[in-house]
Amino acid sequence: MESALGQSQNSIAELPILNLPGTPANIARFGSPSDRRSEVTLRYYFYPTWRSQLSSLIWFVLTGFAAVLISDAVPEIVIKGELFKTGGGTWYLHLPLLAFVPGFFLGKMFLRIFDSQYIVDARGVEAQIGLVSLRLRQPRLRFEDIRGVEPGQTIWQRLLGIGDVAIGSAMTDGVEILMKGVSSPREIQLFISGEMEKRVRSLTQSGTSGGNTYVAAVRGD
Amino acid sequence: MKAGKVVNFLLLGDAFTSRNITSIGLVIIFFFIFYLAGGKVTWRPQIQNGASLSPVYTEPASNPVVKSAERFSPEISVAQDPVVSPEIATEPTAVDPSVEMESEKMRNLRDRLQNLGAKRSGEGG
Repeated sequence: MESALGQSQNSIAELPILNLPGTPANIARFGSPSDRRSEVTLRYYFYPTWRSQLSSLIWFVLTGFAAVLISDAVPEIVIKGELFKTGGGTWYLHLPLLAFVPGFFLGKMFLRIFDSQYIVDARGVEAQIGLVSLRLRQPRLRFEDIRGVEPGQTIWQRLLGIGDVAIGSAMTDGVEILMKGVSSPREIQLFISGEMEKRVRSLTQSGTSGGNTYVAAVRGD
Repeated sequence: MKAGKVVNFLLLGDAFTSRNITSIGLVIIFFFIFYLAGGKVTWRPQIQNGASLSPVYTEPASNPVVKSAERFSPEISVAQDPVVSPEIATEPTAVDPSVEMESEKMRNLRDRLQNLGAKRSGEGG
C-alpha cells in the first residue's frame, strides 16, 4: 500500500500544470479536470469581472469630469508643493485635490477585482479571498463535501451576464464559498455540479471494486 | 515549442489578459483626469541674487492691472513699492516747483477776477 501511495504521489508530481481562466470557451476546449487528471493537472481560475463594479465605474467617470471642471473654475484647489531640489533648480508638484475622488473609486474597484480568485481543479473548489488585503482566507471544499451550488443574479447582473455563485458545504448550514461577481454563473454551477457527479461516481466505483479508497483519502482527493 | 514558451515568458504574454488590460486602461484614464485637473510637475531654476526671473517660470498674476502697469513702466512700480525702496516711502512727499508756480498763477487770476467783479458792481450802483 505504501508503494502504491508513493507511486501515485510521483505521478502527480510529474504531471504538467495548466492554469487557465475559467471561461466557457476554455472549459469546452480543455475539458474537465477530473477527466484529464491522468495527463495534466488542470486548474480553472475564476475572477470577479469588471462588469460587476459598474456602479463604481460610473462614479469614477462622473467624479472625473467633476474634478476637471471644478479644478478649472477654482484654481486654489490645485496646491503646489516642493518635491526636491536638483543641481540647477527645484521640482514642484501641482496636485489637484479633487483628483483623489475618482482615485478613490478606482482603488475601490481594483481592491474588489484583484482581492479574490476562485480555483476549480480535479479535487474541489478553493477560494482565495484577501489577496491584496492584510488578511487572507483560503477556504477549500472537496467535491464530495459540497452540499449544493446555487447561482444568484439581480436583474442588472442578468443583463450584464454576471452573478454570484454560492457553494454550500455539508459541514455547515451556511455558504462556505461565495464567488462574487463572476461571469456566466449558470455555466459555473453546471460545471461544478458535473465535477461533483464525476467525483462521487469515481468514489462509488472505487468503493465497490475495493480499489484504492485509502490512497485517495490520503491524497486528499 | 520551448522557444515559443521562452518568448512568451520574456514578453510577459500571460500578463496580457483582458482583465489586466482593462486595469491598465483605467489607470491611464485616471492619469489623464489628473493632468486635465491641473496636476503636473514643474521645474524652476534657482534665482541668483540680482538676477531677474527666468521666463520659464512666471507667477500667476493676482492683479492684472498692476501687472500691466509694471510691464509698461517698471520704474514707477518699483518706486511705489515700499518694500523695494523703503527710503522713498518714508521720505516726505516733495512738491514739484512747476506745480507750485501754477498754483500761484491760479490764485492771482482768481483775485483779479474778484476785484473786477467788485469794481463793476460799484459802477453799477
